[in-house]
Amino acid sequence: MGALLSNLPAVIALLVLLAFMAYVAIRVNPGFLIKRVAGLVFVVMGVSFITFVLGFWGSGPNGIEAVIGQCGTRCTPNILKNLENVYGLRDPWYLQYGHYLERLVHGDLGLSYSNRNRTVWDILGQGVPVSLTLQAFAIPLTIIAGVPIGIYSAIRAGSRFDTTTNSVSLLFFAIPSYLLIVYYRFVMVFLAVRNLPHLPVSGWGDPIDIVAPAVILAAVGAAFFTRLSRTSMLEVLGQEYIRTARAKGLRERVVIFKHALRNAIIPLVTALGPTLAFAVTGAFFTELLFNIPGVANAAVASITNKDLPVIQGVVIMTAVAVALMNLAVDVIYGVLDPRIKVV
Amino acid sequence: MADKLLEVQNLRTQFFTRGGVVKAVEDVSFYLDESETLGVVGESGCGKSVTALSVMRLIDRPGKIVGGRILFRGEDVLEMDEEELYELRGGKIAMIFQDPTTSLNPVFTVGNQISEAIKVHLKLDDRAARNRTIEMMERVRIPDARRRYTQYPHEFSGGMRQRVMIAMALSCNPQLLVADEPTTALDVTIQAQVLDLMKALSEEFKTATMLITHDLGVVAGMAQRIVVMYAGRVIEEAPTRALFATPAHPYTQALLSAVPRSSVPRGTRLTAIPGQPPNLVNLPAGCSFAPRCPKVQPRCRVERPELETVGPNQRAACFYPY
Amino acid sequence: METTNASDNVSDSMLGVIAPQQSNAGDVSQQPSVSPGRAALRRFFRDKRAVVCLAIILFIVIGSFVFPPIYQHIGPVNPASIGAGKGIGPTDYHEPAFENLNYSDGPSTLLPLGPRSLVYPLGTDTNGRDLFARVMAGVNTSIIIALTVEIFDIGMGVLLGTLAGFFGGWLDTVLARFTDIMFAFPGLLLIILIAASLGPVFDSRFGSGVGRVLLIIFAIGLLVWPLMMRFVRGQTIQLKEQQYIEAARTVGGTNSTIIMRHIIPNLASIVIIAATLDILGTITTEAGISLLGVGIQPPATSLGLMISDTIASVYSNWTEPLWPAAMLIILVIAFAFIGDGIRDAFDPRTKD
Repeated sequence: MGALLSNLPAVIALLVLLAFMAYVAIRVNPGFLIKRVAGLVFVVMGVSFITFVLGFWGSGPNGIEAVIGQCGTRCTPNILKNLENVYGLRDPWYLQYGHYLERLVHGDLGLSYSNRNRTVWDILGQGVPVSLTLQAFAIPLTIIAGVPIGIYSAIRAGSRFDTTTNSVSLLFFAIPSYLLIVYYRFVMVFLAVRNLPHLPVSGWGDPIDIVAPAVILAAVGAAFFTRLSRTSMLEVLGQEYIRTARAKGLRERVVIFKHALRNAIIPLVTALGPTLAFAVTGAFFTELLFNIPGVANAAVASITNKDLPVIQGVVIMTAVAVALMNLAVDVIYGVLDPRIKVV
Repeated sequence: MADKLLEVQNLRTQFFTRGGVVKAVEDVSFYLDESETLGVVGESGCGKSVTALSVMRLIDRPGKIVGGRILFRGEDVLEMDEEELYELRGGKIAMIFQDPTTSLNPVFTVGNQISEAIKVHLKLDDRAARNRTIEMMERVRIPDARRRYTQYPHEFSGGMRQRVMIAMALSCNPQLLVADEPTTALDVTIQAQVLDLMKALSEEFKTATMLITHDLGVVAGMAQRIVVMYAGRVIEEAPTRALFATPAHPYTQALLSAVPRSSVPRGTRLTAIPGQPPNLVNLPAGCSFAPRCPKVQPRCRVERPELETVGPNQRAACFYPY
Repeated sequence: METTNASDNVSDSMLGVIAPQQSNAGDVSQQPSVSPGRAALRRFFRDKRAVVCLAIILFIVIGSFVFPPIYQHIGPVNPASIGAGKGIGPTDYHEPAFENLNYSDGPSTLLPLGPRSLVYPLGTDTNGRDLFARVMAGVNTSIIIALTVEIFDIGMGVLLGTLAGFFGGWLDTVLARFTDIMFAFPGLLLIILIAASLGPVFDSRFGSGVGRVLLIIFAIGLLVWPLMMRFVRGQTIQLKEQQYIEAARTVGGTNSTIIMRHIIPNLASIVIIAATLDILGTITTEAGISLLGVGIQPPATSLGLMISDTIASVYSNWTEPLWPAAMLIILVIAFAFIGDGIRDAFDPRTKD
């Protein structure tokens, strides 16, 4: 995977974010923004506190188990003491947490416990573009596949297409992604053993590596969006204003694509918010089972290594993404549904 | 007398549900003259709304029109193809629904929703359609129409929304206006205003009106003739005056005695009709009203009465009228 | 002007239920009215797909408790460890995770891999363990975890949801902020973190078998109830605005009687729908984290653990992974179809 390809999604994401922030700053009233920022601060505090307590508990007496890996057998009391000083492990837990928050205000996520001389930003900086690249393929695929099928299914409610879609989407919605991956492996191994053409079962680096994980992620996501858009569209089609539109003599095409669709996408936006917010950590099993060096892999590795700062970083990043996406959903809501005022 | 504007003959509309076939409209016939106002009266579930939707061919699955003819100016609506229906709906027959809150699309401006019908039927461009819309909004007495053009339905009050619906319905000069309980969802004080407006406008536009309601008080001042429906059938049809003076069917009589009126001596109790309307899946044999009828005779339970002339222009489906 | 007898009619029309009526032409004064719950049940049982799935689930749930003790009498004997040549003793089956079902035949008597036989209905795995016994044990683990989580989920969700929705105030605010935090967590990561950091504590306190099951219940339970609470809270707020609550209050109903008699019974639909989805989520999450190696630990077993074993052995025996995965898929699909059926049954729009 070229440097451009792995950086492009991040750049696009950043531009979208900036544009969105500018829009919010212009359109939304400052009181609302202040409330939202306060909410964000609160959520980040809560999330980081829970993580800190769990991580502190898990990483043994004062995190020493985690840092001990840095010197291994060559550890001497002196080196250990040095490490403890660097990470402030001697402090009581509330001081450690306080220092952590203090650094957080400056945008500093701290140093990794288990990797010498690496900051958390550094580790996330490697994982996030990979995860985002994967999702940059998977999420559009999810929407493109899921929403039209669901809408069409609702229009043809009760038809064979609808009942089939309904069952198939229920299956993909219910079956966990890791089972799909396990079966995907079986098929690929079966093909490989017989020297038939097949896709790779794991790895990252070749453009072809992205196909299977993205498709599997999209299949699961699309199933959800199919069901959601079908329900939403069915609900809208049963509304009286649709009957009014038909009674006006509008063509069915106009009734569906203007009057119904515009209302049906409103709940989809709500669902898209969390989907995008969890884009970085959402592809958990996919990243792990395909051995993709994204955030999920880094997170699991850091849990295994009791690397508290990295776990904290991942969790805080997600919380911020969730908060931003909720804000985005609210703003888009206000645009789509004039009944809702973005205050 | 002019030709019949609308003639419904033996209309039968049924809903095919899991619980069985609901015979919502059975063998319903009536007519409307040009510029006439016809009241269609009955309690909820008697098939009056389904009749109205059938006239517009707006019956959705699992409903289906299974028989009869609906002649609009001699053309059978049931034989029309899609293109003809698009012209009919909104253009020749317009409809107003019960609840103006849910009948307007919440995400489009009022102006947008009125003008889109105008663009389709009168083939006007955006600018002309906009002018026509504002003109219509003024004619239904929406104050400050130019500003309200760009507002959304939720920014209107209930009465104003129904005015929007009326403006939308009349904007393309339809020959027939089907109003399905147009005032039921409104406050009592607003009801009279909206009814007056409808009456004035339909006279002005020379539009015939089919006014569907459960409220005899509403049709009394509006309609020239009244059709009373019960359990999917027409059970009485008479000029308004005759119906109020000499109701033939016991059901009509019961309906009238349940209306508070100043002409009745003080102290007279309003009478309620006991029991509930029958289940439209399994209709009892004989007269549908027999189980609730105070004058029921053994014959009523086995044989169904047909509509028969019982007075000048008055017909009723009862073996023992008056 | 409604012409029908208003007082007779009001309960039906208010709940929006069309009572399926019988065709008794003579008796019209009282049509039999059906409570919404009963009507929903009736609609559910008309959905053949859901009923079949319910039967399958009941069979699996009951079977996962009943079959192992039977299997010990008719199944293969334990040639090595506890009393050679005997069936696996009843006490073994009473271990919560049925660890001893996972016995190894030992290298000497080992049927090397796979081949199904009368002795081993599904064959054995790479370690010579009886797959049939292990699948039963795995399903049992999943069921125990799912049911316990559900009890916790419904208990916490209904209790706090009704309190927050009904009384509002500081409790509502505190819970709302707490759910904000919980919803901002990447769920799986939190579960893994809990499992990793509290795992040793649970292991040493309860032993690694029971401890791990409890740990997973704790971790998943902690994650699922805020959503249930939010559903219940929303529904409670809606119910609270209903006129019959006001009516109950005017005739002297206290808060507790209103909650117990008027709110909680009407939460049934939303709780059942959410719980079905949560069961599904719990089963797949448990299998998922066991698959990642932070859930159930050997020698106990779980469907997820078995699937993870098979990822390695697929090259040598492709039938082995079939069974745990198939079992998981059956469970998940059956619950999904049941959930679908329940949702349709409670949906007032899908009338008869």
